[in-house]
Amino acid sequence: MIKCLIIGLLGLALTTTAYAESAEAKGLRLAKELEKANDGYRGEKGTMTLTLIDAYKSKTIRKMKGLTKEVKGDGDLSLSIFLNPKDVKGTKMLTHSHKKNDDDQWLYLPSVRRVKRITSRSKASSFMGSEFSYEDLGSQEIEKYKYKWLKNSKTKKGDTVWVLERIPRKKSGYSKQVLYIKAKIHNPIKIEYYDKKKELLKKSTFKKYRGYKIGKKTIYRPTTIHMVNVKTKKESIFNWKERKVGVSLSKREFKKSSLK
Amino acid sequence: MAFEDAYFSQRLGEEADWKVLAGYRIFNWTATEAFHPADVVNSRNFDSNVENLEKKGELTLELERTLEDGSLNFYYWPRFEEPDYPGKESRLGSGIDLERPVWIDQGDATSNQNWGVQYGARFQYTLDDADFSFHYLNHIDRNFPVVGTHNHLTVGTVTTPLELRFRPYFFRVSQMGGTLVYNYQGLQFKVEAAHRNFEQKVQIFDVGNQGLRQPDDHSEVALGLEYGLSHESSGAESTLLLEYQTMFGVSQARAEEMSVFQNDVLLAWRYAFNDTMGKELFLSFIFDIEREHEFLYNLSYQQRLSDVWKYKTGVRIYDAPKKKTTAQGLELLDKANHAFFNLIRYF
Repeated sequence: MIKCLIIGLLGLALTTTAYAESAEAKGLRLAKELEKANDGYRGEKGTMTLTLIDAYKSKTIRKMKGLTKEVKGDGDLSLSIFLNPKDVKGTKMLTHSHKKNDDDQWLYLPSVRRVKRITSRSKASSFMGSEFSYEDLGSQEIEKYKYKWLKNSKTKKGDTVWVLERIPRKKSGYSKQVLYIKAKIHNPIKIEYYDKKKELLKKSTFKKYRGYKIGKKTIYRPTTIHMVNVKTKKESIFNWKERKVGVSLSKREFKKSSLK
Repeated sequence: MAFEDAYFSQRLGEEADWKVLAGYRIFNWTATEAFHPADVVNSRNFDSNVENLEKKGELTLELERTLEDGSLNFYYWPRFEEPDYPGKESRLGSGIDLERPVWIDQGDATSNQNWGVQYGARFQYTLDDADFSFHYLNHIDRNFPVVGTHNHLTVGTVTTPLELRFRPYFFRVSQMGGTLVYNYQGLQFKVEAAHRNFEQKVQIFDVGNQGLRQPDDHSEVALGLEYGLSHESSGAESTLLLEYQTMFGVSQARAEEMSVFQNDVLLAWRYAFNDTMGKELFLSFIFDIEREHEFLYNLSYQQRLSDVWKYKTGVRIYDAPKKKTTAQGLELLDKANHAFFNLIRYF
């Protein structure tokens, strides 16, 4: 009897080990769940403000228009157009994201009527003086990172939060990112960015999520993203004023030639 | 008064891939920062920075076909826009006021009518990490004038001008060229090239060089390398630039007469503070690797003052003493050193 029990327990232990999901596999699985939950938004457009706050709390507010088009089988297309203030009005950033390769990004500078391709090294650089880098505004495709599940935690309201680590597979301005994903909406509520020395560099918080009904699916988007550079104490806040999700956008609006 | 951009554009149908544009337009076909062999459509204001001359709008009729990853553009330019030259009092001038230009078209060296036929096409495409473009132009060149007179008399081997005039003559040219920008491992490689065939072979007595001249067929190639680096502790970023331009198809002496940058290198550093005031420092150094002692130093700083005001200040030093009787290339600007302060108001 005891022998049978030992064999049984041993068998159960072996089975559990064989089927136990590694932290990496769990991280990847949850990342795929996130991707699936956010798939099918078709297109998105809206206006937003980008508030730049320096270490002395002095503020500059920029108004932008943003368009994003979902592309099946590859990364998305996005276009940001600065509307205000006057000194940056007409500046445009076009991103062609890719699942595996580096994103293609171009900046149109109206003062010199020039479309400039952004170098992959510059992708770690600041976007228009903000704490968001070109990389932050590019695609976050699963294929570009190695994932690892770190732990589960709870929000103050008791919602489950998955804490995932992701390490870029290719050249990046970061050594790793730690994502805090609210399981209920399959979207991040916080991301920590670590520099090449593996020290915490920036923290972004995603607030005021709103659900958009697209067919039978609800896709969530934050109204505010607040990025804080813990080293320079500078901050930047994206705040969406109006947003439409599920819109149909022409691919032509995302051509490099239409930037001029 | 000169128009820069004042045009009307219309897509031919809601979902059509064709677009038509008409009006004054400034083009930017360059890939590099200081040398621009492919970027020749617009007339320039020569009373500005020699490596980035201000442009004047060109009256344009354009038809654009949008492609999957690029575009094909056809151009017609009915008017020859005159370049602006520095006056004799200008620090960048040569001490004389140039006369109204003459456009040498169909062998006629007397026309200063600004209207005629100019056309071109440009194909742009993106392939993976590379953006490339090719163009063909048939227009009146505005970058390689011969200054002097077409009234001259040659007796034996001696040519004598029949009048002393400082009149720029511009010639019809066919130009083929292109650009390439390629991202590789954090570096950006740039190539910009053009080959020019001048169609009319009319000899002009060049008052500066005291001899008969015409623009010679030639090629220009510029190569560039860009490297960016972020300063994480401050949030600032630096961009390092290395560029080189050379001319082919003409002798060294002729290249020196024709172009300020016939064999030159640019080293530059841009430091963007990435702060709310958009502060930026730019330091550049251009030197000739063929001709001795030809240097151009530039240091500039700019920042916003508010949402509508900005200033740019700096200093430029031209160090290129004259080596022969006639000043060539950058020697024409020797000691035209100056400091500047530009206050810019946006509307």
